Amino acid sequence: MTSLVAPAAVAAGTWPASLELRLAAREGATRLVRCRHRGPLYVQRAFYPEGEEHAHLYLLHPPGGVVSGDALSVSVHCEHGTGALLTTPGAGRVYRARDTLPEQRQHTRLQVASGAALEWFPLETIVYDGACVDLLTEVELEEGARFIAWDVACLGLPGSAAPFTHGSFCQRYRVVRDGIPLFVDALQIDESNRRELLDGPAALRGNPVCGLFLAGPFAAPAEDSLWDELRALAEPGQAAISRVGDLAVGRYLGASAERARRQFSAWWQRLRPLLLGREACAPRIWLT
Amino acid sequence: MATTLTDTALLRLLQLTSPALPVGGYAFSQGLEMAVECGWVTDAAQTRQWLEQQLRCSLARVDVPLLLRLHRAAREGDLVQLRYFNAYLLACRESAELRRTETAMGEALCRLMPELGLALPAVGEPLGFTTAFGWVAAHWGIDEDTAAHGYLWSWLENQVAAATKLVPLGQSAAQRLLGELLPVLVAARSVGARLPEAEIGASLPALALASSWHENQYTRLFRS
Repeated sequence: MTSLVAPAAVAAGTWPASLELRLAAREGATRLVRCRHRGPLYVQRAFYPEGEEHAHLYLLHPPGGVVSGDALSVSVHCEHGTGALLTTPGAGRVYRARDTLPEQRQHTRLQVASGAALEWFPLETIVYDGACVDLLTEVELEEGARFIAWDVACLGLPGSAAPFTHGSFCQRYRVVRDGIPLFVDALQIDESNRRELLDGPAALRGNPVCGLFLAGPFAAPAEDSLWDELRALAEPGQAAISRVGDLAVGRYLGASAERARRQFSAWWQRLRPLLLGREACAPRIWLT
Repeated sequence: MATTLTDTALLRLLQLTSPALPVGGYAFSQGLEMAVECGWVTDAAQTRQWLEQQLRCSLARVDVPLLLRLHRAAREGDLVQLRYFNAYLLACRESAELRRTETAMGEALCRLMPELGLALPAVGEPLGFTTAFGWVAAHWGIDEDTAAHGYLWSWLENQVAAATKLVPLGQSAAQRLLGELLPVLVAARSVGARLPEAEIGASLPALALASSWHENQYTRLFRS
């Protein structure tokens, strides 16, 4: 049962936290050469379920959520020749904001060097009614870098137990290659436009779960048969995938974060061998 | 907002925003054809909501602020900025269809302009229509605010023309709709003019879905 209020331990004070990771290639293996953290946000160690070239890392945030005044900052730098998959063991939660300290922030910066590959698969972010949050994800690619990422936001608690009826939610996603924008998406819900965006015909259409899937860049024009396959994997009426410039951009709009993840995972399994030259290998933590 | 526009610039604006300008805007429905197919847009009231939402949540937050910056880059002959904001523009297009609308119309305008004595710069990537529009407006002496109004008007007129065929709407209903959305258009220009660069961007997930599905819609009148 998901609690409606923040746990007392978390609510007691604000808890800034940051994590800085650096991955480097050492004799053919991807090593975590820097792992600095401040506050309750860290990585214990790298796992290698598919060999030492590609590391799996779990980002741990024991409080499990952010409250008013919290600022979470994650920075990941993948050096040339590295490969890594990052995920989180649990959903991120953004609790109701307090009037005195409204802002909750999370800034994620992912830098991927030429010849490196990064997969960024956080579990969903659950945004509680009354949250007031600013989430920014910046992906900085060098020419020749590859990445696959997804992001799933649940506005209000699952099952419409507590819909998102007040507060603000700003989620920006920016991907640049050598400083030039490749993809920009910014969902900016505030008091002035909340109903319009949550219920509007071109926006969320009353759906509480909204997800974004990105993969690329693809150098060559993709074959039609691949796109037909990817489209055939899309859940009818809830998901779609399209080639936007050099990227594959997929979306899910519906009622279930789990279905969103299943959808994105299906696309990931199809695209990973093409982009990374590896078969999909689900992190063990997803199976528990 | 008071604008001072020379007679020639006014006439050039009419030329640039005319449906007769051969850039092929009429060929794209920008998600509307699929939205109609899905049953999301079935009458004049829903057409109005569909367009109003895009004006307020997308054009005000992407097209207008970028057009103003592109216009400025054109005035100053700053090709680095022009290239950057052109890439930013394409990065904000959520599906292959929406991106192709930009690049196909942009390419058509770039092809046409040398015939009219104004060549557009090559920046290494295809110019979006918004970029080319900003460049031409700047060189024809159309100030940036007027250019933004003209741009929004030509988008709206094109979408209403598509709705007339697809929903469908009667001719009078279509003209009424244009009138009803004018205040929204003016507000979109004004919101977009104040938006800081870090906030440029939008997300309309259902539009992105509809537009992506359009690529495979079984029968369609419009290009994808």
